Amino acid sequence: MESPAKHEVEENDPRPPFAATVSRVAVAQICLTVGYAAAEPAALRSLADIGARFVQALARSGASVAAAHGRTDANLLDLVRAMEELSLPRGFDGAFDPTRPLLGSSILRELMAFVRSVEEIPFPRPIRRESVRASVSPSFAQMGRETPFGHVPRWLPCFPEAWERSRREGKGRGDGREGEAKREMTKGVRLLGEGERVLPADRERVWFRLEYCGGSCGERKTKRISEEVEERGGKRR
Amino acid sequence: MNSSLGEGRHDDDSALTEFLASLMDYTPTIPDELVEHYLSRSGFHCPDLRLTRLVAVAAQKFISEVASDALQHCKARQAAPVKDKSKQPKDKRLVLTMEDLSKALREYGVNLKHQEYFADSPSTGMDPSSREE
Repeated sequence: MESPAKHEVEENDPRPPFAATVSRVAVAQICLTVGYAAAEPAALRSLADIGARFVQALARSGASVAAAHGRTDANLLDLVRAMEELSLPRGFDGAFDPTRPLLGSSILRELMAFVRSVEEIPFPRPIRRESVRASVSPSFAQMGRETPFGHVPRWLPCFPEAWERSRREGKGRGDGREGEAKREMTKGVRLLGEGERVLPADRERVWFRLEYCGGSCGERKTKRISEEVEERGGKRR
Repeated sequence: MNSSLGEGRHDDDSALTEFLASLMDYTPTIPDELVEHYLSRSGFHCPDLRLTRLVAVAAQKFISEVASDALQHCKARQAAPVKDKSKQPKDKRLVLTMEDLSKALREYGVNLKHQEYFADSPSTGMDPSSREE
């Protein structure tokens, strides 16, 4: 469920989200390869939206199958099951047999044939990856460390560095003054690091307005432009 | 009988392994970043790039199937005989329209409806050749 605040923000923003724009371009490319020469904007938007919903439905179904089997990560079998589930309305070869092997599913065979038959057309531009994954700290098992407490399982993310350090120092010296100073320092560094990393994917546009005000006021014209740019720059900051 | 079944399964497995390995070099039209974004939004977590590509390929197949169905509708409409010659469209270009798309999607269980007088862009209602993207 989306929070109402987020919804409001999306409503106020006239531009479509970045992901929707990217999927529209990809869908337009697919339409071109199919044989279309052009597309109505509304039709293209709808098809792109439906494509995105298809991916999300597939992912949700796959994730729920994985969760039903007691796993957090989905695997190929979950994905095949999700794909079969999504193609049930149209039906597929071998759907009548409940004991069919999942890896020999006709849907996978169709996908193989599709990949063989379709020309490879990559997306025209490289896309900047959102650093969502980077912000997730690695688990104790991934770092190869032991957990400080017995009741903390190893698959949980590591404790913050500063916390562990202060704990160690607190134990060694009794007073945590130095540890506190260090903690603040590391906090500062981390904030700086995050500031560098988390660049908004879509930034505010800057535009210039040229106004004609007669031949004699060339200076005023340039001044006005620079003022406007400054004003916008100030707003952005 | 059993041995032949087993051999068939073995062939299937090797074909699948080959296919999955080939996905590493294949670049789907739907970019990995986009698929990963939607996967992570839906709670699907998998570090394997091949599965991401498989999802991308499945989505690409779905979209191109829908688009080619719509194309067939479009071609059928253009090929249909028109009694009134003045109503015959001059432009024979293939354009993806909401009409064809909603017809094609009905088969997939998606009910898409376009409002009768919906103006989706400022240029709606102008010459059809000038309002394409």
